[in-house]
Amino acid sequence: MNTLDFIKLCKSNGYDEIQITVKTNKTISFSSINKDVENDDIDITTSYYIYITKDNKTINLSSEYLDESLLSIIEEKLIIIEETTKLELKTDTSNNNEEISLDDININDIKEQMLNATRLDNITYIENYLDVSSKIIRIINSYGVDISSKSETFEVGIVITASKDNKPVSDTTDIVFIKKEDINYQELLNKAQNNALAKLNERNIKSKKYNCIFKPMVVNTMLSYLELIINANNIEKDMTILKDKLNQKIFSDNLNIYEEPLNNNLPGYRLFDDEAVLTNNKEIITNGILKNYIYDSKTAKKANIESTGNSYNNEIECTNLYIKPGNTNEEDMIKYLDHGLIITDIMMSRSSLNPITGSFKGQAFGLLVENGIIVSSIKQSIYSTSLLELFNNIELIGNDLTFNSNRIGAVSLLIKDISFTGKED
Amino acid sequence: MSIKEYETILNDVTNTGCDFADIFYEEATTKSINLVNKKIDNIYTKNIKGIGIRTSLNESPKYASTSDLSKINELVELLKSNYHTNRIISPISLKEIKPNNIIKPKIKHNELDINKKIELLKKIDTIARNYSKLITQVSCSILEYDRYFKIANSNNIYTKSNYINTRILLKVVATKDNNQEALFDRFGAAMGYELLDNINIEEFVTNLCEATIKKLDAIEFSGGEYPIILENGFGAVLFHEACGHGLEATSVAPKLSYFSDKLNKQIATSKVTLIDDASINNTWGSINIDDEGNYPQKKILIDKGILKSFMVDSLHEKQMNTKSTGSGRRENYHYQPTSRMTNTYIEKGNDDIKEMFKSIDYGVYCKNLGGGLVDTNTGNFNFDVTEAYLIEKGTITKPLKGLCLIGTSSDILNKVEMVANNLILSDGYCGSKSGMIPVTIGEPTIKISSIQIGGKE
Repeated sequence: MNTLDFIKLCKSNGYDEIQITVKTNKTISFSSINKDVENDDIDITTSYYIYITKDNKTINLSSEYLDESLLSIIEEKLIIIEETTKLELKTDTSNNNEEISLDDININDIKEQMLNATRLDNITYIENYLDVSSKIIRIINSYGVDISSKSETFEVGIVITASKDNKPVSDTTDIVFIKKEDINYQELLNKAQNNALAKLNERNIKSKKYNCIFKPMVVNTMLSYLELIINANNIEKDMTILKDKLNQKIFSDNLNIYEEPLNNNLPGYRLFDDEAVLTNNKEIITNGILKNYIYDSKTAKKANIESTGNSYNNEIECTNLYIKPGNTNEEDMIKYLDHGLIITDIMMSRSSLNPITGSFKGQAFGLLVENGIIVSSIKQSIYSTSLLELFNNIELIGNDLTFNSNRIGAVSLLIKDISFTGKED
Repeated sequence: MSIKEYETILNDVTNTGCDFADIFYEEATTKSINLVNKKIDNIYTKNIKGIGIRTSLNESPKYASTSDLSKINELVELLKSNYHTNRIISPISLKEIKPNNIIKPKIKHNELDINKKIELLKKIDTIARNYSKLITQVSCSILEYDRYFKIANSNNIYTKSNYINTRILLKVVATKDNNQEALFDRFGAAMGYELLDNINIEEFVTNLCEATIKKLDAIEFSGGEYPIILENGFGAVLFHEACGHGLEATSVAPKLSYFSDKLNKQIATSKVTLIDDASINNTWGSINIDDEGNYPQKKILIDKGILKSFMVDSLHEKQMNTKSTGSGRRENYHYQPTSRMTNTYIEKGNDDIKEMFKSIDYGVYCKNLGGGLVDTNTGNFNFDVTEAYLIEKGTITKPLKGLCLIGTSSDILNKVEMVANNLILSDGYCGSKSGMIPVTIGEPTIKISSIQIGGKE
């Protein structure tokens, strides 16, 4: 059944308002280990996120098909769910778009480069990933609204394993591009191999506080935690340290964090969220001051404000959340650090974040810097910090803005006084 | 689609020179009924339906999947275009095989009235709130998962199977002064609502409330290397992550795993026997047949410390030089199957738990672990400890918080010093290349002689 027929069916069953977000996603996934292809997949999926309003109650469901069997699910939800907020549907049809389609994208040249990657000495494995995602998001509702937006992203992942004396170390790269021509695989590969080789010479570090450079991949994880604690669901449930902190200075003066869904030079470009609320670019942190929480329609209504257009995939999320880059390059940052650590990877699960205190800990991997020079990698060490500590202790901000698959962009940060537990030699 | 239609597609897609092909058709429904602070906050539902077609030549696969069944021919042509010779395998003539009958639901999800389900959730909420005024937030939910799939492959196999999983989840928040702590627990099985005959709801709720309230008084712990006792049940997530993933053909075949060249070698202390058994009746991670049409097996992976076998999927049979162990699994048709765990547990031993505690002068009793991560290339792992207590001179003294466990696969297996005989299994989800799948993990109470613990510096 097509979307318009399903809307008609719902109308004939007495539902007041119907809105359907149709997501058509074509994903090409390629992966290789050394010179062998591991995966070469294509997936074409259409998903429907359905919002139904009856008697001022709005319920939603998600399905990969539309048919009459969904009506019994809708009916059950309308009867059982005790607390819903009516979704205010978009009624303005002035910016209805014409139907758009997905383009065919040829990535054979990058696949070829991945399969022909040359390993440097002591590199045992090169694992490559390339995910090309083409999406059309279309919202159709019972007021005749029919709007679409289209996006493409190219995610490149490289996992390098190096080994010396039977002791393996690894380095991971994960970057999202919005244009294929921006991918310089060879440059990414060379950098990743050199990063892995630099980790071969391991040294224990003492347990104490260190000044550190956190690389973009690590800062990316921290930003995903920030996204969690500015989420209105957690604000409402008192499950965040940032409750009642709006317009207060919580982080370093030099930190600015934005959410820019309308920036079409970034990978998470969206004109509207999944509830058809028009998105807007906003400041999250300005000069260290918390400027905005993020809301969907339900949490916004409870807070008696407008939705901020942050409803994605049935969750409250940001798209194109990023730190405003500074002007320090890698070399200058290491010189400025002088003595300390460069943290290239962390290993921790999301459950290790305590949103009530903002604290978290995990295993850190990286490099030891002495007199402004990288002298070795660091052996098994554990960091213990909090988001407040991290973002309050920023000394320098890098110019290396990098986006990952969560549509979050991060830069290198030089942060002082972070606790590490190491092993004494 | 009929068996004949599957046969036609398979014969067509294998025409241009691949040496293997399979088709996976799936319909699945996930439903979660959520009670948040005394109200039904949401009933989350997700329905999927679609098909995945895989071809391979010399174990190098191509996979195409879609939710739009009208695109099957397009996918077939796309897959065929990857091969450029005449047909190299015999024509396919499908024969239906019957899956095992390990998952036998007695009360299917639609056979219990929705109001009874809500009553159960409200009962859980009431028990938690009545337990103590310190319990300030309660959220609980019932998860229902129903899956139906059909598989046809170029080895002439055609089969179809049903799965059912039911789970109760509970999260409570305790508050005292300005301090808040939250803990989570769950109980699930591959069965219908007869699950309720297997759980003591009162005990399930009060145990979690008790632990959460204790955590309000928990103290920070200085990091360092200490002996630990891992509680029976979910503590086994440590072994699931630390060595289970490294025993899957997906990482063993390309020699990415630390264990790749260790078959028949001593890799753990003699206390460790690790088993993966997909065929335990109605257990959370059990399967009737795997996602490639192979029968599930009980596999002894490590026998008294010696590595005896791996978990193998169809695609890696040649590279692994062994038949599939029925380990091919995937979250849904959007993913190709890979070798995955099912119900994985450490076999019970005969050490006395009291002796375990007595043997520790200063260490940590890890009663519950949270999520964990492993890098199978290096064997490095990392786990959150959600409920922990200090052991001083053989006795549990104070609750601790903010701990994580860190180590490497090779190291931890050689530090298993004592294993008790109180094996229990616990349900969880495992995320890997082929998506999130239900898995069981289990162990008796275990003493690890030393492990690095991350705490407050």
